[in-house]
Amino acid sequence: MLLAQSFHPVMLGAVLAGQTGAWLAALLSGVLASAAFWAVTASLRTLPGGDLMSLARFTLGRPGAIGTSLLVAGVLVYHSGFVVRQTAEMAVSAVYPLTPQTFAVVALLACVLGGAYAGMNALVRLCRAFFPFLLLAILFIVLGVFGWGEVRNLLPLWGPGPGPLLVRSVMLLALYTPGLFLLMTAGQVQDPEGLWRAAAMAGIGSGTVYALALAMLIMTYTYPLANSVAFPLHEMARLILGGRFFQRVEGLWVLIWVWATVCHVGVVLHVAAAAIADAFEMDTHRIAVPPLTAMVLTLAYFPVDQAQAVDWHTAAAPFGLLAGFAVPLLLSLIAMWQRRRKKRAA
Amino acid sequence: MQRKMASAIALLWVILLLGGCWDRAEVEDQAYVVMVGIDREPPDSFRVTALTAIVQQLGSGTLQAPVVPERPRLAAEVLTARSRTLGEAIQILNGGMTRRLDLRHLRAVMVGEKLARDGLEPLVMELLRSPLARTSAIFLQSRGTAGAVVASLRPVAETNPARMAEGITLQAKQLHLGPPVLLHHFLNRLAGGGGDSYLAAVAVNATVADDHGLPEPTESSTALPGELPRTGGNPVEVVGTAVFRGDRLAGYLNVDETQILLALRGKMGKAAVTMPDPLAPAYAVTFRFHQENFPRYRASFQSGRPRVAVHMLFEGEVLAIPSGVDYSAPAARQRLERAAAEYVRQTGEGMLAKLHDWQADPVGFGQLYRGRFATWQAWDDFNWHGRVKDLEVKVTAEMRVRRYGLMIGRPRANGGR
Amino acid sequence: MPGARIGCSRTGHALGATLYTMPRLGGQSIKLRSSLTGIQAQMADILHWPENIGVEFRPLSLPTQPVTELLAVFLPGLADEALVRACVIEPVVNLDIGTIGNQRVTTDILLRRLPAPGLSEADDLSLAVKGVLEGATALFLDGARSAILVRTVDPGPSDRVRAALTQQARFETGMLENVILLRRRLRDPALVARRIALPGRRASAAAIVYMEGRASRDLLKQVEAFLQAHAGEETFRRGFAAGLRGKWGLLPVLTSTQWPDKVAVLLDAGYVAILADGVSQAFVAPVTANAILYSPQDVTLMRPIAKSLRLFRAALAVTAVTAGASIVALMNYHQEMMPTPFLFAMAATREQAPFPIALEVLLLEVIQELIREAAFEWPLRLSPGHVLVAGQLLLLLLAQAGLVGTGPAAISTVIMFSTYGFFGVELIYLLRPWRFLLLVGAVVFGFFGIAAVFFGLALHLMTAESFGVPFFGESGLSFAAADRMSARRKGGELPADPTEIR
Repeated sequence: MLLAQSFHPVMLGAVLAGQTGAWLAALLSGVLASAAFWAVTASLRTLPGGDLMSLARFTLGRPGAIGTSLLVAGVLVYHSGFVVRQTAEMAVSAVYPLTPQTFAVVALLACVLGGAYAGMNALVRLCRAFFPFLLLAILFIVLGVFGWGEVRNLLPLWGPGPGPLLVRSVMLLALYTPGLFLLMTAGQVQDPEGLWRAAAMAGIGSGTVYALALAMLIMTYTYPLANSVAFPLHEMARLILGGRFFQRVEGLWVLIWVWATVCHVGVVLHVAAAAIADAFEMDTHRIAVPPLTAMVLTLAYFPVDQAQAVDWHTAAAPFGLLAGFAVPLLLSLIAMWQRRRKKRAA
Repeated sequence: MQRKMASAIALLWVILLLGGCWDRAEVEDQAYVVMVGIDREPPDSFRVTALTAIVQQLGSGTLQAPVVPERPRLAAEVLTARSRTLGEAIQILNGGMTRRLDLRHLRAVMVGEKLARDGLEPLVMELLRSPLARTSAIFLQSRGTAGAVVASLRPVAETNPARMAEGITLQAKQLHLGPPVLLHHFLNRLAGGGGDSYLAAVAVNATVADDHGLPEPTESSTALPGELPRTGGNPVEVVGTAVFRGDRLAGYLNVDETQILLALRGKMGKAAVTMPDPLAPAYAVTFRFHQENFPRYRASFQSGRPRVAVHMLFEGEVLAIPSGVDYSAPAARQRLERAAAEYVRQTGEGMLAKLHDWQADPVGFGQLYRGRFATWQAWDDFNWHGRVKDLEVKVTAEMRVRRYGLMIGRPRANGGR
Repeated sequence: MPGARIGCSRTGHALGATLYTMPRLGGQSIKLRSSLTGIQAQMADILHWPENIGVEFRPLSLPTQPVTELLAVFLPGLADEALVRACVIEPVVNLDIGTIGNQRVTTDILLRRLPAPGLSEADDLSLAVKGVLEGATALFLDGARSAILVRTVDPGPSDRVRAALTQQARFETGMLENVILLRRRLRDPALVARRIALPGRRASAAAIVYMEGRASRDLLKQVEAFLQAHAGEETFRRGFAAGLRGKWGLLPVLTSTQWPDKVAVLLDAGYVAILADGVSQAFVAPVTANAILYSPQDVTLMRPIAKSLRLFRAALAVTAVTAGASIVALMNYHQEMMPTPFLFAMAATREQAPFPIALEVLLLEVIQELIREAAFEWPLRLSPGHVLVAGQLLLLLLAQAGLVGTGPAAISTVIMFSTYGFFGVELIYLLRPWRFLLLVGAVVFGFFGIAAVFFGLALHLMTAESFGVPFFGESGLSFAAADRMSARRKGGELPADPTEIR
């Protein structure tokens, strides 16, 4: 579910920049993400503590841990705010036009609050139970609209050209930041060894599914019209026709999407709260959950409209990328330098 | 702490529960629009005609079977409004209703001729933007006004407007008198480049509508919409194709030309074709054409001008030989096959000549050239639309007759000719 | 039958012909001790005697000089008590001492003197235990380091025949009979059925059953403590209704079942069962999703089919919970999802409907609950099936009168019967309140509301624990316990420990 919540706006950004080759960029980004996961977790495991917060504490002391936790929480809360806003926008624009958006946002956040509060065990069980349905739903949509477009709409293959596509695939790594932060708190997980393998597979799997969805979007709506589709997967779900009986099933998609949102944001918020709790040495992460949820609620309303929300999220992607990849790398380098210095001193 | 949190969440839910139900609508409070006809109303308005289902006539509400009237009529009402947008039209029409008009079950959208000639892009984009309309609705183009067509609908053996709309798609898919084009397909072709769009054409057959005795004989194969030689039944007929250049209507194709257009796109499937009998020109032969394989295309450039050679392969099942000629004999069969291939070629060339005059490419020959470009910018710069006038297409066909219906050879009766 | 004289030639099944296999005792040979006291200690240790119900240690003695002490060990129910009396006890007690003279009574002498055919000698403890678990009577002699196994297998009813041809056996009303039913399925010395004294029940009337070494000590302690605190007649009449977990909990404390096959598999997986006299059910703890969704068929069916069926049952459970809410969401918020002709037909039938669809569905759900309550609580001697059918006729009348729609009434009936067909009573009670919460969510916000409420309920289930065990464990919908039971039935090596309780 790494990509589940970023499908909508990032799909738009990807198509705009990647043109007819956007799906290639997505595929490559999945492979790059898996490599990045492996690199980050491998380096963390060799360093003191085995997770980001311990590393921050080791290198920079308590202030460093607090700073890192605030950075992690900030990125994740911003991401959550956007995701919640986008899901509420989809629900209201597409299916519930008379319902005030606040109603949808507050309902989502009530579920998210419960999820983050419940803890990682419950969330993992929920995600594990729900994940097959989400995957099936996405695959069902992408395969269900296969007859609605032409494969030739994917041509020319390279879109803007190989160079810009490569740049785009690197920028798309920002999608994987929440997953990366989840990995970096691996010290709290029962099976850290299995986690990075699973995350690497998730990177490739997510990239593949994302590429498939993008390919179907371009085939079905063609470039450049695909740029203007506000909620791509929802629009594709609206097209599914299975004879007389099975049609107009996007209502089911809303159900799946709401679940995906609350599971995703619940996990993300839990990670943020756990990071804060770790840094401030709190007894439990639960104390941090309500204020973070309130921040998510506030951030969800910052953009004045949906277009601005998409623009802000696209603009913030490089910073998320930086926070997710550059900061742990920097801390690792500092830790290695400190260890070498200690050895020399010894 | 846990109790406080649980109480807070429960309180939140109570607040939500007290404030919900905005989009709740009972089915008995809705009126469902099944078909919409949109015409240009000068200078810059639309005339929107909505065919609204009257569900009370479709069921009894009890466990007994419904009472069927002697002459079943379509259970629908025609409503018309003049407005600047489709959304405004619904609002205006709601003014005269005690139920709320609902477009969620819109099955067909029809556009009038004048509007089609002015350009459909603004309307189509409005339909794409609106959550009410659905791009899986069948998209039709009417000769004359769409409002007149909607108002003239009197389907035979059908009272349910939803089934009537479904029937249009079903007929198109099975009989290929007109292409089964949905709004989404039109959008796809309009926005995608590499070709032009087309729609199924609809018209009111004046002879049927006015019931003026037998019409002048017109061959059905060359009939344009509204010109089929028939009487009785539904005055509205869905035959032929409306071809567009970009978003503007360019012209109409008759039944045969429609079938060749579909064959050139590889979407003909199985269609009934009637052509002159090669060995008895006073008669005609009816085939069922099977297009089993996709056409083979060869796209090239000659002196900078695009050239396409298309070869189509058909299998044929002979359904009617009024002349009595025994086409199962090898020599006669080969003659028949050559004649069928020639008929396809000539009809195709005639159609392509029309398309050339209109500078339209509903077949989508431009898509054949798309793979030659590495980047989107290069393809965009190629500007296929500007090159359609230079396009030359050579059509060849091959026919293999496989079956002769339920009789082989030349059936005779005692005392026959 | 009491008083009936049974010839010793009738021995029923041969040894080794049981349906289930026995595990090896540590895989190595353990010699019997020479003294009877020692042997008794060995056997008592393995069979958990005397606390284990249904294990008989019958001391016998021969009035020789000095007195010869013997010990007969058998499992009533697996061994035919009448045969034990006829083939072991009476022959031993009535042994003609005079013919023995001053000889010391040895195993050989007994082997020659006992009338039962098919006697065998076992000098290994595991063989002796195996024989006892198969239904033989082990006769130990003081001073002899071997046991005589007498074939006293209870000849009927055959588990193999029953399992093959009929529906699975159900629990009886007697506690000892139920222990025997479990022992037939788990011919394992680790199976312990221990009496527990509960408030409100007479001292010998309840037992806790578990597999020693598989059920954790902590779980046992918690279950016993819970029973001491809460058990009364209500617990054993309704089981799951007595004392919901915590103040906000929606899960039952215990789940109940009438299938010994199911309980046997759960015991092998580390669960704990409670049996009581006069109650033809077993109560199982902890309550997990696996315990609820498990079906006795999972042992006999091919794995892909069993997995598909279990998923199907889970899907039906979700459907049963969400069906009413889904109808309301479809009809009020997502009318586009219905096929157009169907929608028009429904709209036509609703033209004269007096209530909104939400109220109609609520009315139907309440009526179904009333019917369900009547089926199980009706004081008259009517079977639940009769009451359920009568209830559906009532619904038909209401539909005829136009008070409810025929469509929703029909769907409601189908859902009602499907839940009974697949899950049994305990799941119904588990699911009951949730349907109304989901209905409220659907009325307020369509499928979004259903998703939100369902998420809350699912979250509660994911965090719920029963005696410290999560409701949805890490093993997911595991078939390991079923595989193990299947191996027991076929014979041969048992697969690895399938304990689901962590």
